[in-house]
Amino acid sequence: MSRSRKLSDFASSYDSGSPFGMKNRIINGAMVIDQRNAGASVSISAPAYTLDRMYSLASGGGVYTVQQSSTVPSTTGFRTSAAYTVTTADSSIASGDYYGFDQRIEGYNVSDLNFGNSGATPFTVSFWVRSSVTGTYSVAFFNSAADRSYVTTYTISAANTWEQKTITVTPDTGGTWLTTNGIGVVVRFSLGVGSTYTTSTLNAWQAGLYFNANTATNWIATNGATFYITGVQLEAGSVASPFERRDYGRELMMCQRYLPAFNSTNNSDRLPGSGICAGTTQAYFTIVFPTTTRVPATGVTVSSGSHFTVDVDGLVAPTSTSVSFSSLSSLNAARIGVTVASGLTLGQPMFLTINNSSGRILFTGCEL
Amino acid sequence: MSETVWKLLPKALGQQVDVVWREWPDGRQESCLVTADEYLKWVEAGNTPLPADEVSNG
Repeated sequence: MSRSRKLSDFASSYDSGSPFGMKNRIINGAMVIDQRNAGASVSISAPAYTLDRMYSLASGGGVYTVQQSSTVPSTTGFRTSAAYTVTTADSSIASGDYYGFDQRIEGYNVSDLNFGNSGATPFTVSFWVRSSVTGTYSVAFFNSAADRSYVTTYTISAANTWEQKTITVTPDTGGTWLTTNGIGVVVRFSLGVGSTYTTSTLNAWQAGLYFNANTATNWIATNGATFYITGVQLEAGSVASPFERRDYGRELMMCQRYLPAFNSTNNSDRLPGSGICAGTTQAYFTIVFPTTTRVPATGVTVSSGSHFTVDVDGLVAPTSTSVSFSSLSSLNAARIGVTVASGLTLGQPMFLTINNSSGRILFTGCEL
Repeated sequence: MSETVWKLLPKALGQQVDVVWREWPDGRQESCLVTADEYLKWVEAGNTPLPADEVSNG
């Protein structure tokens, strides 16, 4: 890209909103953060979050895996991508079934685009993509109520070759669009969708929920098919400017607004917070989150019931047998119950330690 | 306990909403409020949680 082009893009980006701070409204667009699975492959046969902020969709008999990958477009500076691989094909998708993935952008982060108003600001989505299956693919945008949608397409011309795609959209001037901590807009990439959500009305807003073009390729129909994506950016304006490279710590913090998590880096990670023993076998520990969450957590997932140690002033340190959510949750902390076989004393203060290098604790319910 | 069946937990001190818990074959343990989406979807699919143990956990 020439210097004059870069300056032109910068000016365009500046005019559309600050190029500093959160130019890219997509969080984890470079697929760097994977708090749930730490790079492990996961099989998707039902909707589930995979890499941070990336929601995978599967509603039929087809199955695919998702994994953080080191396959990236060369010389772009990206180090990771999200890799999707079909493990059970669905070549005859039922009308209401669908496959793909999306990111639900929080209303606060797109409120300046003025969705639903006559002064709506154009936005541009850019991304790098690669697939073993060439053809036409769909990208769609829709609101929280899923009653206003826009479907457009891009083409993968060469198999197993990275290509950068750019799509510019003028936001909907009608409908209801949330601008606080609900879903502001959903950006969905489709990989095989039934007729219920397929439309021939492309590049225009319409009533109803559609996220697939009638000309789109059915990627999920091919067993072993692959699809990689990275460098996903959604920015204000009509120009795709260079990918905004946020520092790792900030990107992680942004992800933790939706998934407060603690991944152990050794076998003695003390968790932040305070706790007290409620008997000989039970303790309650309030964990302080790394950042303020979108909404209070409603649950917890731990790598294993035995990956935690109740540390009572260094005198006794029994290993946990189970860990459970304990209801009292705010935007900044949540209480968990920890059960051990024996050794605690009612009223003793305690600390909680992750005792395993693969130990992990994730608080759920904060995602969109 | 079946690895994918949610089980109600006894209410802890100060707890307003019931909590359910389950364990997967790989050792992962999940728990959440009975108002959480993942549990509600499981119930809507026609499932019923195991009852809570009689002994209070606190």
